[in-house]
Amino acid sequence: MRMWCIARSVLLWCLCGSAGVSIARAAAPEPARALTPAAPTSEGADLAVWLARLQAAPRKRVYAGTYVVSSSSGALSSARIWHVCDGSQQMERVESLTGPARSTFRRNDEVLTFHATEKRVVAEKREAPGLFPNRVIPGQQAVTGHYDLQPMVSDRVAGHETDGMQLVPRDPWRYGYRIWAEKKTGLVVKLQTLDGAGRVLEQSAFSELQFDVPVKMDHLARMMDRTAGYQVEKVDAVRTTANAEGWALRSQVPGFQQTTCVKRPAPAGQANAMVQWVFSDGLASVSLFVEPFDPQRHRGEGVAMMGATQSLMRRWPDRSEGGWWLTVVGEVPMQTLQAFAQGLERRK
Amino acid sequence: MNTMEPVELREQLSAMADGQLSSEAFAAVADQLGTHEDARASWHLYHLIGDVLRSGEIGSGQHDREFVARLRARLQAEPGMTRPAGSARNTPENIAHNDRTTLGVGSIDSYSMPAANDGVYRWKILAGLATVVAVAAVAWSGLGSERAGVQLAQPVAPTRVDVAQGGLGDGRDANVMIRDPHLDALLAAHRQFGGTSALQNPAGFLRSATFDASASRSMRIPGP
Repeated sequence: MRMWCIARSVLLWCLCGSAGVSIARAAAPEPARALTPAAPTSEGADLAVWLARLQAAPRKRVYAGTYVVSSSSGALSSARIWHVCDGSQQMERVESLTGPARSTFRRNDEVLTFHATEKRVVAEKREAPGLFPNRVIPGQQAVTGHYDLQPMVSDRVAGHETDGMQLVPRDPWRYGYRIWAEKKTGLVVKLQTLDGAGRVLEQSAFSELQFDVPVKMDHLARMMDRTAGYQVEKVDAVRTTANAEGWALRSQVPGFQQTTCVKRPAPAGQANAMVQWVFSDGLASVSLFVEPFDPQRHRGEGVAMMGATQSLMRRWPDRSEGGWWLTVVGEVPMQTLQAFAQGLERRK
Repeated sequence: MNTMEPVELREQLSAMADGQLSSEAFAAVADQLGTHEDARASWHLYHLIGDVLRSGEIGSGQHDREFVARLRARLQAEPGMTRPAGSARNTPENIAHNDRTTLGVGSIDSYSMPAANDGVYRWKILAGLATVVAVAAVAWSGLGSERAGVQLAQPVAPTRVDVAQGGLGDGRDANVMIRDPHLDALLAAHRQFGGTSALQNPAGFLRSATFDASASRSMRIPGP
């Protein structure tokens, strides 16, 4: 029996080693700490105000800390964070502490990721609306219409007093969230994504956080601009519209609005580009990737789960020749991805 | 077993100490070592000479024999580990164990712990199974055909059970999971334009920047 246990664990280890799967029991559902609100604060206005405060927080503060992300499958990643701002600009440095060495620098929407061992830098623009001051977030109205805000008991996170709020989805098309914001600044210091059964799918939090640390923006800028000796790879995405690319949705998933649509250049040796069509309900987002089916690159159909991020891959519309390969990715339940996949329509 | 001439034996011992003997000759000399006190003395002496030549320090090997004798006595005095009764029948170790004990059915020996090197056979099975896992995963990635993949995946059924128990907490029937670089690239693209947008600042961005580690790379579960 003992040998078999060892054998099993070695097999598991082999699988982990070759495939990089982390296997662990799903995190036990955390007891819901939501209070029954004496005076319900589920008014849309409250939610919008509260979210606006959260978004504004990092534009005002300088901080450094250690950030940890864990998923229900047991994967754990952490990084050292430095954040500076000078009113008009924000800069961030994220130094990975787990996995392959990576340094990510962000200056507003401009992001550079340095892969030191491969001497490679990936340059990209983040379209994430929350990164811009005074930018209206698409689907912000949807947030208030599809989630209820419930206060939770105050808690201490990374040594700071926080206000906890739970966003409870009103329908099964989205996940719930628990958010802890630092009391004085409103900075999000802990975030949990919960499935329909209240299980934590993923959580991220500062394990240690200090405000007003002596970090100089020009120092970070110099580090970010030091790309000499690195091969710089630019991620080029051209803005387009779904209509222009010949795609439409027959049926809308409640609360999700189109935020952007881009076309990525075809990989070497490929004729057709890949279209990425993005939707958001203000909190969660869904990307539809459509590209011509290529048996060399597109393997079996299936689903994948990474923390709160679900993926669905399938040939579209069926398995006939000359079809498409559809990948739907989002921090939403699988049924939402399926609804997007089923609603897709070709109009060309 | 023929007794070797003392000179020949010492030559063979020297060769053995240098790792130059092949299986048959090795077995013969090992036999001699087991029965001849002076062969063992020579064996220690050759090692002592080797140690001194290599390290340049004064070696000491005189206590070896006493140490081995004490160790042997202690080992013999150790109570044997008993096998738990009613263990599962179809495990490779049971099959291996049963094969071995058909020679002495019912003897007390068949319930005592097998010798340490007895596990070699089981480890071979294990290594073989692990290789099957690896080959199945590689073949699956290479073929790109679902049907072939499913067939190749069959031998790894025991692993699937473990993944199902330990992996996804949602009770979904887990299949063999494989890495998919194409999906990794799309996930990165999704993070670039999406991520939990309203919380993107800063938690969402930090989340994606932190969560890029290979430990959390996407694992694909091929569908039915």
